[in-house]
Amino acid sequence: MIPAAFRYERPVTIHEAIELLGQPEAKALAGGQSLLPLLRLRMAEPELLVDLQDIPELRGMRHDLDQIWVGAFVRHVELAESAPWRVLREAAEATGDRQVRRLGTIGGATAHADPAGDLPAALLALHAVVEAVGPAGRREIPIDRFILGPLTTELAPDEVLTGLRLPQPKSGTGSSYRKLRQKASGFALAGVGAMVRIEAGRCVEVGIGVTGVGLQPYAAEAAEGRLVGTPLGDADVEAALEALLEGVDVQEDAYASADYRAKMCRLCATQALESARAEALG
Amino acid sequence: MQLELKVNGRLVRRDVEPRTLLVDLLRDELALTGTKVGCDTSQCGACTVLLDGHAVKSCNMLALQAQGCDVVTIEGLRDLVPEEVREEGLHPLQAAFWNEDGLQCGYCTPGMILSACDLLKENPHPSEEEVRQGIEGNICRCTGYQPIVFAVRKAADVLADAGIDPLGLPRQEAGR
Repeated sequence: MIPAAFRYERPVTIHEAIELLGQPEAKALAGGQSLLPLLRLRMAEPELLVDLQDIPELRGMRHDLDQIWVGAFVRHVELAESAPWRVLREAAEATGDRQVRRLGTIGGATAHADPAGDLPAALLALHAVVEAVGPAGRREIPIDRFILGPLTTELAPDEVLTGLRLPQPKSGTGSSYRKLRQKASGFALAGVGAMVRIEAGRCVEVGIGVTGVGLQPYAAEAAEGRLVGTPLGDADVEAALEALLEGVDVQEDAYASADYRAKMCRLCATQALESARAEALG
Repeated sequence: MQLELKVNGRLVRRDVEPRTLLVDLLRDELALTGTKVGCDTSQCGACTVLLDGHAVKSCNMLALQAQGCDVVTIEGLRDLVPEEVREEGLHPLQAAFWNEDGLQCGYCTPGMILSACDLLKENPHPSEEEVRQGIEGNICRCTGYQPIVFAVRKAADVLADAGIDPLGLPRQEAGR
């Protein structure tokens, strides 16, 4: 039994959901795999839970011309099987465990913004765009500006995260996710998503998303900048990754010192980039 | 609030508080105490049940989220398979855990078996490594896992010989 009582609603349209979320202390519920533990620990005490599972517009994936739309209610198991980018499949597969992946959703994981969440790192690598709908209409927020801090996002209390926009994989692209798991919880002590596009032997586009290391998942822009134009050789990667943790307050806890985390983060990044490069070169 | 769902093949109607977890409904309301609560932080997997045929943690979802769903607990597992496939009335997975000593205290066993059910439905012949990955959401503090892995692979063979998946549905495949 969850200690604090709350009301529960199951809207069938986004419009209804927005109205309900406009009530005081209302909270959206997707798969519940992050929210339910918070409720049980009294770390969240909403007065109203708005279960989004009956809203058909939040489901499925669509391929548009040069973009892919992933509905907020797409579950980790579905991503692991059929996401169009390998980095997303690998990050979904690395999330939680079998039971958690069955219920957990991409929209929930994104809105929850866990500092050690796996999917945010993949979404940052892909320069994904978050789509949200609220009383004032729809807006699109780049993922690096969506995540504001630990468990803190740009999403307003009465907005519904409806889906994510990703680029279509072009020829010459590759991506991968690498992670060091904390043995007991499975959360990332360090995790890195990488995406590269290679044209005529040079890297023309790159994305690096880092999780588990700082106070929030982030895009390693300085390192990305150093890789563009290079052939992604070992020396290029090593030089670029010196900037991987630039400006980041590397966290320290009982499981890993800041120094160890930083080292493991660079290792994950090296492996993720190497694997992405190998895929890009086919 | 009114809740209607199927548990072990029977229609259940209850008036529940929204804060009732699925595991609370199963254990406290329906007296299906085979489903265990081991951690309360959704890590141990002892509360695992099948929801519409897939393993989920019943302590990590509201009973109301399961509205209209089909839930199977350890008590109902054997009824999924035909009688001739059961060993002393047990589902092949239960029998394999018994025969291979896949338990000591038994507290994790119901959850372990239902996770294994999900795994074998997807992958009829998992390797040792695949079994270990498949049960990553379930913690056992007694066995060291080895006999559990043996048991799951043994059950896989029994189900394959019977030509069914762990939910009792016919499975077409060439013999091993």
